[in-house]
Amino acid sequence: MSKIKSALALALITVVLLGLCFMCTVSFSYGTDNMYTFNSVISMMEKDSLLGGGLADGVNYVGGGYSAVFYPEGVISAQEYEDNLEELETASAEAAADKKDEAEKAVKEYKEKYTASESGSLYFETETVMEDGEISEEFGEKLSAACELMRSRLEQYRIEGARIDLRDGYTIEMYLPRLSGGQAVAFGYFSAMGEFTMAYGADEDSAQPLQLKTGETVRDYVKGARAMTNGTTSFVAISFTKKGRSTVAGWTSGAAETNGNLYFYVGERAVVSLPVSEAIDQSTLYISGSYTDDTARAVAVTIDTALKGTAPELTLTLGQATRLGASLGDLALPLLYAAFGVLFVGMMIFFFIRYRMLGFVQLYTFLIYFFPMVLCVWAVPMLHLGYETALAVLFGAALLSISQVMVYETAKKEFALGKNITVVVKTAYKKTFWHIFDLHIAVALLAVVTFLISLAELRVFALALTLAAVFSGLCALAVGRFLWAALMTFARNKGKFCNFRSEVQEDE
Amino acid sequence: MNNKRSRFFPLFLAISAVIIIAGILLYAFIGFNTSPDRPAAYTLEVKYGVVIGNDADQQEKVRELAESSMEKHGIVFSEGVTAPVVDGDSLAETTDTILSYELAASSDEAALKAVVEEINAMEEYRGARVYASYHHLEELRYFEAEWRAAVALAVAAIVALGYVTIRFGVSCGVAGLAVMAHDVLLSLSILAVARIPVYAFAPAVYAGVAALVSVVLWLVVCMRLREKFKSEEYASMNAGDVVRSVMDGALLPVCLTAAVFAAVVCVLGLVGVVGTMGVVLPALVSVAVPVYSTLLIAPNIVVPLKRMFDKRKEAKKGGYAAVKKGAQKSE
Repeated sequence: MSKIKSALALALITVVLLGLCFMCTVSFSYGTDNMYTFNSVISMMEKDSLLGGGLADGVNYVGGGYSAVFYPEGVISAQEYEDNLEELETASAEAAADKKDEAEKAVKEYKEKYTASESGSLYFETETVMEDGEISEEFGEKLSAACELMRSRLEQYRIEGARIDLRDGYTIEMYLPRLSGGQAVAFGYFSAMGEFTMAYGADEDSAQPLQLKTGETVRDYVKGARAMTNGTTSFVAISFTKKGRSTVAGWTSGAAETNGNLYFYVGERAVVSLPVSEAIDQSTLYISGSYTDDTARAVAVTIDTALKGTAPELTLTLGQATRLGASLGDLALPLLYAAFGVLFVGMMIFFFIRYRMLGFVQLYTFLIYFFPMVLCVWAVPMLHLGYETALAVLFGAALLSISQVMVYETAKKEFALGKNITVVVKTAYKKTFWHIFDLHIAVALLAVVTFLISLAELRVFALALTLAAVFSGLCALAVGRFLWAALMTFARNKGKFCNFRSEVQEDE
Repeated sequence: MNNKRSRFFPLFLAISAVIIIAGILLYAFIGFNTSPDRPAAYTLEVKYGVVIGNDADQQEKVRELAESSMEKHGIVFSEGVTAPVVDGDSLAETTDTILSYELAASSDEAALKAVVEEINAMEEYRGARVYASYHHLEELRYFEAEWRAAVALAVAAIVALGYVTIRFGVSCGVAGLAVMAHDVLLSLSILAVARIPVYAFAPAVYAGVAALVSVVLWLVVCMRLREKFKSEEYASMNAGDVVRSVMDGALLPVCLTAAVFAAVVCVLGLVGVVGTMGVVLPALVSVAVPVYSTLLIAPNIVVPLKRMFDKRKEAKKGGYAAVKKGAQKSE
């Protein structure tokens, strides 16, 4: 490669890398009164529930999650009880003399209506929840069934970092990481209890529900529901049995003349409300609209679990929801970046000390590996920044470094035999090509198969590792060799440039 | 074969077997130590409205009161986190804020009640008051991700080692598969037996790390083995001698490769994660176990396999030569 070509190639690569570096790491505000903000790729990356960070606008936050507490019917929080009681007592104190007795009676009745839990954090409605001074068995069974249903919904929703807890023994707390999106929908639908059913009519009040004959269940009409995404559009697909299809076809036969609505309920909550303007005669009904991938999955999971599981007759009310930052604290993200920095500096020190100017080849090769990885973590919907992704990216960098060391050490040995540097580079790559190839292919195979089968964090780790193995392999076999050739054209003493020593020359 | 390496092979196997069996039993009965996730814990929540929320001094006062009260009653608490209360339907922020502390599952309920009373007795500030409560949390676990991880790693190991078999021969492929299974099981068993604290999701990732390091280290050995088996030198040596000489030479590359992975997990754990023990120790186990098995267990598996496949090859060659001789005779 001629010096001019090398210089041009290196200048171009340097400019691209600087541009990528700027795009990936620098955030700033601009315009009049800093009206506009430029967010770096790293700041915009989705972060998992353990990590989190604010965007440059100082308003939006990426990472962390939302937590919601659900209260079963007949259970209220101590704060709600005290607030209500205080209101009644104030009303009683301020009541006119002729209404004083009535107001005092209301206070007394309210006090009698509820019993405090042992911890004092909950109050139970005596009539609904208690039996002989204790929590009734029936309520306990309903609550267990509700917990199991919500647990299975969360399990099928498959979001990394999601969590469900039994709080104070009688309420349910659900945590959804922010990266899932559609948390409000999931909170609303996952707490929907009761039987699945469908109805058709002009509006919800006048809609005629599905009339089940003796011995029939709704599963004789509806097979199940699943979420689908085609490009940027997400659907909820509801599959009917033959009977279900003909029922819906019968309901909607006159829809062309008189528009109606098809409703799908879980308990009393309409999870799908579909305006119908023509007859529906399909075995699978694809419903799009304002669904995102996450909301479509939340709806499909809610319908499917209501259809196939138990249907506890217990109403759950969302009592308190909070927005939480990174579970590991605000320092977690800067520390993670610091870890990347320490490893990068350590790697570069090693390469510059052992191979002198070849360190620049490693620097360029590493950056060409690293920035596409950063862009992938930002752009690939299934990836987000978390410890598993960081580990995969770093392991990819480790593979790249190991491969480079293999090549350089082989070249060093070849150079020691007194060979010309061009021959040395060729021989080194020839000798190590299959080693590097095998290493990367085996890792990529391991990762890609794991990605196809596994779930949650391991799936994210495997996907990131697959990409890391591909980029690392390409960089080690192609980019590194090209950069070595390009950079070496400027070296007068090639051996010194690479910190290689020829034993033959020394002997001479 | 290195005498010590082969002499102590039954001992290595026994150690692994004991740890793996103990690990499986512990996992089946009590699972991993997922204390960083707080599967059972108490939380203390202090809720206040916009009047206190807009006054940094008052917020600090609330925080100080809560923390001094907990300290007074001997309650161990995590750093307090403030979280805005949001509307459940729109997730839009309301004017309320919650200051919450995570407390150990062993916290004394009587002490917690006293703390709550002390905080609730705080003087009103411009007509606004704080509201404290404590809550017990018990995680409802789900396991689909765990069994899917086990299936995924098993299939991935077979596929990856299938590639190793094609490239390096059946003996290397089978030995690699055995070693990888050993590494994954032993790493997880050590986590279970030593009760090393891990996040609930993490064992699957650590199993993945063990599988990855295992396949990389084994490939380092396989590359050298293939070169040696292909060399003319091998014709005059038996499989045991070849493996021994390869393993002696592979000690440094294997250790250095493992050191690179160890450096990554150490720096990530020590610098990148605040709760270091939850990441460094288990990840180091996942790196160290493959080193142990690659250097001490794998050679003892690959030698008999190589011998067996060489014998088969020879028998096939012999059979073919006999057939050829017979054909020549009949001519």
